[in-house]
Amino acid sequence: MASARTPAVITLSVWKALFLREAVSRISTGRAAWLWLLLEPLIHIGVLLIIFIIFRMRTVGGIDTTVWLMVGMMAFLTFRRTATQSQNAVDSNRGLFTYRQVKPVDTVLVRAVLEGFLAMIVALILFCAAAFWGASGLPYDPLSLLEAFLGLWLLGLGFGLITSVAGDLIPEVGNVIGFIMTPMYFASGVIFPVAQAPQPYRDWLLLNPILHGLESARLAFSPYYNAAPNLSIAYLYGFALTLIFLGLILHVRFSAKLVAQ
Amino acid sequence: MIVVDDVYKRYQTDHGPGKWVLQGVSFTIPPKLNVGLVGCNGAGKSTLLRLIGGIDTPNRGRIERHCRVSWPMGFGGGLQGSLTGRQNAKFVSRIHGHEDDIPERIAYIQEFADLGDAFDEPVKTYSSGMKSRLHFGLSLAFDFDVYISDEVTATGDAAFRTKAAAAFKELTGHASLIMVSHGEGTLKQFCTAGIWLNEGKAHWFDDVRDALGAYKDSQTVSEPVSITFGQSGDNAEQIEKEAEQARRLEAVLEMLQQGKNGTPVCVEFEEFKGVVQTAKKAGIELASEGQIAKRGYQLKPDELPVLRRRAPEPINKLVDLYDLHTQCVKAKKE
Repeated sequence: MASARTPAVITLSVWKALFLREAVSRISTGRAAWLWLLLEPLIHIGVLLIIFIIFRMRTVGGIDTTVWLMVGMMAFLTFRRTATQSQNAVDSNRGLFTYRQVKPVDTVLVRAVLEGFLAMIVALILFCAAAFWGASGLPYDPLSLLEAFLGLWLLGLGFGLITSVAGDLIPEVGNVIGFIMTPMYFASGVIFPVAQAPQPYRDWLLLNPILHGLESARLAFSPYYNAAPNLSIAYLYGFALTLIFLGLILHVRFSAKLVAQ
Repeated sequence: MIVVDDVYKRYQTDHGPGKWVLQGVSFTIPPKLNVGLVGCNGAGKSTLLRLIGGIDTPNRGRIERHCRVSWPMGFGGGLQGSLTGRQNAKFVSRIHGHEDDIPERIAYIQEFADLGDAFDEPVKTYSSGMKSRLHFGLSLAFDFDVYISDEVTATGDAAFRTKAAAAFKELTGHASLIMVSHGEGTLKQFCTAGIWLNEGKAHWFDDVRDALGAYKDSQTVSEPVSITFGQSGDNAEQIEKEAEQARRLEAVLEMLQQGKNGTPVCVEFEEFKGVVQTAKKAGIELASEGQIAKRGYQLKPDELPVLRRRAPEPINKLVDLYDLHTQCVKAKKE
């Protein structure tokens, strides 16, 4: 054993160990757990697509419904999975705080990174498959697409950092988040085009940073999309970084309390 | 060296802050000294180990570790149920910076824990004994200066205990132990110094036997049990009386079992010929005050015998009386 490892080295080795462990349990526990990662968005998109076909909506905002749904859904899931998984990180890794090297914030960060990876892989597979079977083209502006997804991931991380602490200190927070997530799904424009919402409600909806991420992602995928006006990717990033900052502060302040039994 | 300086600790409960578990605990553990921690349940032994192990922080005071300290082994935590023993072992190797020599560490852990095929099964399928084997192997696979053990050997079988004892012995010389155990023998075998935790305070003893002694003295029953048998009578009454004695003895036995382990309990008798028989059947030894009880000990009619559990050492305190007899009478009347 090295006589004294620096804090940075310890943290890095903890992150690596946690990442591998989380990845193994996320992908291999249960029967074909990895398949569900892929099936969840696929089924979501499929069901919604059928509903849209029944209503004879071939295009939304000037682009193909399949593309509109697929990109929006993947973008939203990137946020939601990151947020909920990292929210539960502290609780499900409680046993590991027996090793003083492991801090609560490590488990949250690692889970968020893992979810980011998984979301990227799932999105890649979906987009490639859709392009292969001619359901959609390739993204018009891949970098902007990445930018939007990264912003949503950061937002999920910030959200998870805050709720992982808040949910532990105030158990009721978990309930509130549970019933906020469903309206969030609608308010983020996953299944209806926000551009068509009347004023002043559209401006209210645009306060939601997730919406900015979703619409930016769709716009990056196909430039002819009639996105909601006044989109600002900077708003999304500003929001996300603020949440992350607050979340980290909470973790610094309450780290000891989270570990205590 | 581990310095514990004026440490206070209490936990948050559902209704505000709880009572102080540790109140101004201070001591210094020099290098290479094995220390045993004694104290009754809830005295704060595990809390102190958690604080020393660095997985909890004191409310006040400070703890300095000038050496590599293991995590407290023997806790339920530290193993993830859905992963196998091998995967858990890999995880622990990684966080301790042994990325490069995982195979050797794993080999050692596998050999020590001796779990056979179960090593590749999820930990949630393990028995508590198997878990403690794995835990023990895990911590011994890494070089620490101080190993913290919280009753880690308590759940193992005889073979494992022997193995653990051998491993502990091997450590002496290059590493030390801080251990909590309710086994007096274990403490005497491995520890030199002792800390007795009582009412939030820590008392340091250079000899662990003194710590055990202080602990045991504090354990003498505060609510003694006493039965007064007696009242001579004719034969018909005698039979009734013996039955009564048996009932009372059962009541005493129950109280003894509820009492703390190994605690001598004194019961006074006015007359006890029948009691000796009943007591023998019930697995209780009878002895005169100050004498060690042994099988078949004959009591003289005019002596006051002392009823006690099979404790290794003679009783040194005769406790106040608690008249169960009156209670029995009361109960009968009602």
